[in-house]
Amino acid sequence: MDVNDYLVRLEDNLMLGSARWTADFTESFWEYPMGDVVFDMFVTATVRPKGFFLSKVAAWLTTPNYYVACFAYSQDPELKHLHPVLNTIATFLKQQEFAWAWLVVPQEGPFSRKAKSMVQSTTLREIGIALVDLSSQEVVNSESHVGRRLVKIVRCFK
Amino acid sequence: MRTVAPWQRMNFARSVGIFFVLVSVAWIGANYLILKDFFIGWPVIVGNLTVSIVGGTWWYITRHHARFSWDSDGFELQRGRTSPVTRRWDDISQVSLVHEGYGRFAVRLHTDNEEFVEIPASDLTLDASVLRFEVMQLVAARSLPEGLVGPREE
Repeated sequence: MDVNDYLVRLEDNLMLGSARWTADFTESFWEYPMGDVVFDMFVTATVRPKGFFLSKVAAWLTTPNYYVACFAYSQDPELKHLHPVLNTIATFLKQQEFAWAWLVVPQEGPFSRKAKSMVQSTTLREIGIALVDLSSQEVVNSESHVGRRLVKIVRCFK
Repeated sequence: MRTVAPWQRMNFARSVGIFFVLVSVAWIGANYLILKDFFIGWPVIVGNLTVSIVGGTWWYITRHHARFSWDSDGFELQRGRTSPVTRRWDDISQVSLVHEGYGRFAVRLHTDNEEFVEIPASDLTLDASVLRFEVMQLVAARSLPEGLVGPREE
């Protein structure tokens, strides 16, 4: 599976699959420029789900209406530019008033030990990061609450 | 120029359904006002269904039937008998895939002045993801400087 095939599956999983339990992902952009970074994929969502009349009323009464996003970026598997990428996402979250975001970094091959430890030691609360090795199907994620929720969603290899 | 305009069953069923509810409510209301009673039976249901199918078909054709044509220069989208929306691919700055709910997808074409046109891919029985990539290539090819060719034309 190459990165593009994987991103199509991830997009499908976000919009129609298990990610719907977390948020209602509705709009997906590919090759999306943001600052100096061009993300492979950028999907936006709201945590208030759609539904028929009663579901809508229940969601309106019980669920806060905030926005979240999922970014995919495969251009820097060594994570040499992780901080600028995270800064770009953090600026976007602040400017557009999004609550949190996921960053998925897919690659056809293993990640370096340094890259894995960088992700595991990340302390950002509002950005969850996952490194996805498409050949071994190994996932390394950040330890924040947002990052832990990402693990099941990025495992869409079949 | 390629054109797709299949019979869109969901939109047609929705139009007929709305007409059936309206005709039924009107029938019950008229009965109650005139006779102070409801008269419901098979002839009435068949009559309501016939009126709903005729009315729903008219509503679908005039308001909901989507017709989409496109080539390497641009596209034209028409809903029912409303005036068609025509754009060149040069006018498009971003392309996105939109989930409208219940597994229905559209391809949203954003322009520079923050407007967008939505191609109802599921209504047109097109694969929304494939259409999105095709449109992205058309937009990229049109925005390349003269003399350069896009990846598809190499």
